[in-house]
Amino acid sequence: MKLIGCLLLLSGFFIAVAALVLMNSLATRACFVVAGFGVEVLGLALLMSGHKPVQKEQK
Amino acid sequence: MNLVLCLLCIMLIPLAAAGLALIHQGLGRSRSAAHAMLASVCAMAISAIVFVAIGFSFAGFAGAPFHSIAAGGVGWDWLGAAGFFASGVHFDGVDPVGLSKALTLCLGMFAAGLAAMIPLSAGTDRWRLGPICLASALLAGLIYPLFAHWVWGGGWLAQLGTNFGMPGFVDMGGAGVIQVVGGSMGLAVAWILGPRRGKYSDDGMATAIPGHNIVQVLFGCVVALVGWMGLDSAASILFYGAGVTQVVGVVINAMLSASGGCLAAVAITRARYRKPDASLSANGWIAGLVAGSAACAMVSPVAAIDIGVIAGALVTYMIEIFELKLQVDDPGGAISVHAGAGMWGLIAVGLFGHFSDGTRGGHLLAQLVGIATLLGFMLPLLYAGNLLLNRFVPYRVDNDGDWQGMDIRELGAGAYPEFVVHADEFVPR
Repeated sequence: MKLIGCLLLLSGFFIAVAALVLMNSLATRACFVVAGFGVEVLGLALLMSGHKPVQKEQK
Repeated sequence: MNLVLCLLCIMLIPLAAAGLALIHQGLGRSRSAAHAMLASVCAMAISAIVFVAIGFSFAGFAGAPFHSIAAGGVGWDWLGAAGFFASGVHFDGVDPVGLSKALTLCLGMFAAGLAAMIPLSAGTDRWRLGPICLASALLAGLIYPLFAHWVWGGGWLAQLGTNFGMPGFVDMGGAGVIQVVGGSMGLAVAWILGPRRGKYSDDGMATAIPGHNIVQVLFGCVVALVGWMGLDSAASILFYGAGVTQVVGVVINAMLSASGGCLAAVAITRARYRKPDASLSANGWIAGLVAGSAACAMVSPVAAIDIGVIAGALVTYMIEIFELKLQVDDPGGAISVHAGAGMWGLIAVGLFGHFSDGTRGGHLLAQLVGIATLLGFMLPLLYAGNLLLNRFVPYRVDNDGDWQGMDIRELGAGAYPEFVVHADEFVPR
């Protein structure tokens, strides 16, 4: 789950960067960057939940 | 460019570090107070040496050699290629370009130290001194310089305007370069270390472990203000060519955003808990400083207050969410205060900044690309780097050390030897 979270974070970053190269207008670039953010938030959520069980073990 | 004023401002930056160190140790337990202060000093020391030796080469400066990758029809300037051990910087003569290089090195040295001190707050009471030094070296030698180059060294984020016909990413006082990078490392460290023993009950309920010296925390806030004024002013002069009048604005805005952040936290905690919470209010003050630094020389005083108020409000809720919902034990609130408020500050540049060129939408988009880079590239990099270090040198103190406190365990003596020691502090539960 942690690995998938990290990969999703990276994917979101590459989507945001790809928007700069592939798109020309401000609106389409903004849509892609926001989509990249969405993917990053998903990755962050997975990473967060992936660390909760570890904490339970340590308690 | 007023380089003498810039040097004077840089000389104030250690006060920001002193303020953060006081806050960090005051919010921890008394049995780890000396360790917390020593860790802060060691982090600064290691960062300074490693940055000058290696980091400055990668961070570079505008006009210095750099590594570039060609992709998508443009050259992506991704890493500085100046000489190691600051070999390209000369400290003799009166050449303004040479002086500018030397000032960039000086500012970078303190900024890397400041970034390395932020995660200490998230790992307090359980992060060993040896791994702290190694992690600080990793941050100051490789990771901080990478993002600093992209933003302050003429890298691809600064060149968004040249390469993609949109405004460049702006971070005048280091809200992203220093604060979000440091706060993200705090999150990575808190994940790796796990919570302090006794922080969460078996059913997942959080136990309050209050800071041991709130007076030092609040004094640290005032000390940090002076350092922040220096940091924001120096970076604005050096990287964005701010003049003396703008520097006056930077000083006023720093005070106003800190005030807004603190008062918002006081009002919110007063409304929610009937009495203002001193530690959350201190966090609100620092959050205001962090958020205000991104746009410090390009917003009006009213906008600085708005930025600070939103940062202070945001932080009170973020700290609660991290502690109670996400079960991330961050004793000093570093993740919320530095990463959370820093990201808000970067967005605020696009919302409140005064620009001479480009549309507001374009500036906002550039800021979002920068935040996506911090979240999507820098956070995984920091997490992977610290995870790797943790494999070789375990970060966390053993179970006995967790209860004994870091002072006795790692330093052999407590910070307050005359204090009465409660018996339960030495009995494993």
